[in-house]
Amino acid sequence: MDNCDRQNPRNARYLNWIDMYGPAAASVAAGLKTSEENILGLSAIESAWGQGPFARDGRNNFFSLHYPSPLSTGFVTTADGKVKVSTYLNFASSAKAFAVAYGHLVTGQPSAHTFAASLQNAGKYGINRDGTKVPSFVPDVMSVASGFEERLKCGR
Amino acid sequence: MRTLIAIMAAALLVISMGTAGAVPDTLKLSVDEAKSLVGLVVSVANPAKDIESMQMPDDPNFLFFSATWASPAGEPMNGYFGVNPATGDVWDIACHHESNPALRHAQAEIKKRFALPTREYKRLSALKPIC
Repeated sequence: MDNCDRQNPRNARYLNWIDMYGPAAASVAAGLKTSEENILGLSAIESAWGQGPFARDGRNNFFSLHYPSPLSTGFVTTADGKVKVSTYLNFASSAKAFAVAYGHLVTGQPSAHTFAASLQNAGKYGINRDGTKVPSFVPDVMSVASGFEERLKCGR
Repeated sequence: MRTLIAIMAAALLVISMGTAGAVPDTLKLSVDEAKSLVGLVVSVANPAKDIESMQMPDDPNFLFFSATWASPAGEPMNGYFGVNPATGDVWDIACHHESNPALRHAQAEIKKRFALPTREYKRLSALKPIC
C-alpha cells in the first residue's frame, strides 16, 4: 500500500495532520530531543484528530492540558464542570505548553514506547478514575506515532 | 412468487449493505444505545464518567464518543471511541477493539435483535474506523 496516496482516507487523515501541524511539532520535538511523530501522535490521540471537546471550535487544546498553563488564552470545563481545561490560540501554542508542562518527562526519549510510558508512569496521561492505567494508552500512542513515522517520509 | 420477492428483498438488503453507512436505519443502534456501549467499556475503571457524542467528519460510518473525567492531576480525557451502529463493536481512537463480559453480552443481544445474515454480520463486525 502506498502510504502517500491521499485517496486513502487513513493516509489523508495522517498527511493532512502533518501538513497542518508538522512544523510546529517538529520544533517542539527538537527542543525536547524526542521525535516529531511522538508529538504528532500524542496530539492526534488526545484531541481525536482535532475533533475532541477540548480542541474543536477554536479551543486548540491538543494535549488535554489543565488550566492554568503557559500560553493559554482561557479555559473550558470538563462536562461535569469540575476541572478547567486550557484553551490556546493555535496548535503551536498548545504544543509549547505541553513542552513546558511535561517536557521534563519525555526529554531525550525518541522511542514512542518510552515517551508514552513516561507520561503514563508519571500519572499525567492514560490514567483511569480508579487510579489504574489505561492498558491501551501506550500501544495506542505507539501505533499512531508509527503511522506518522511512515508518512513523514512522504515529503511536504 | 412470494418466495421470489423474499429472495429479491434479501438480495437488495445485502447489496445495500456495502458499507456500515449503507445499512438501513432500522438495523442500526441509536446514538443513546451506542453511548451505553461506550459506558460499558469505560465504567469498569471509571464509575463517574462523562460520555458525549461527537463527530468525525471523515468517518461517517461509525458513531463517535468522547469520555472524560475530572482528573485533578492528569489529563481529563478517558478516551475516544467509535461504535459500529450495526453490530455494536466498539473501537478506541487507535483501533484497539474493546471487549469485556458486559459488552459482549450487550453485543449478543444486538446481534439477536438485528438478525443480520451471518456473512453480513461478520463483514460488518470486521469494519474498523479510520485510525
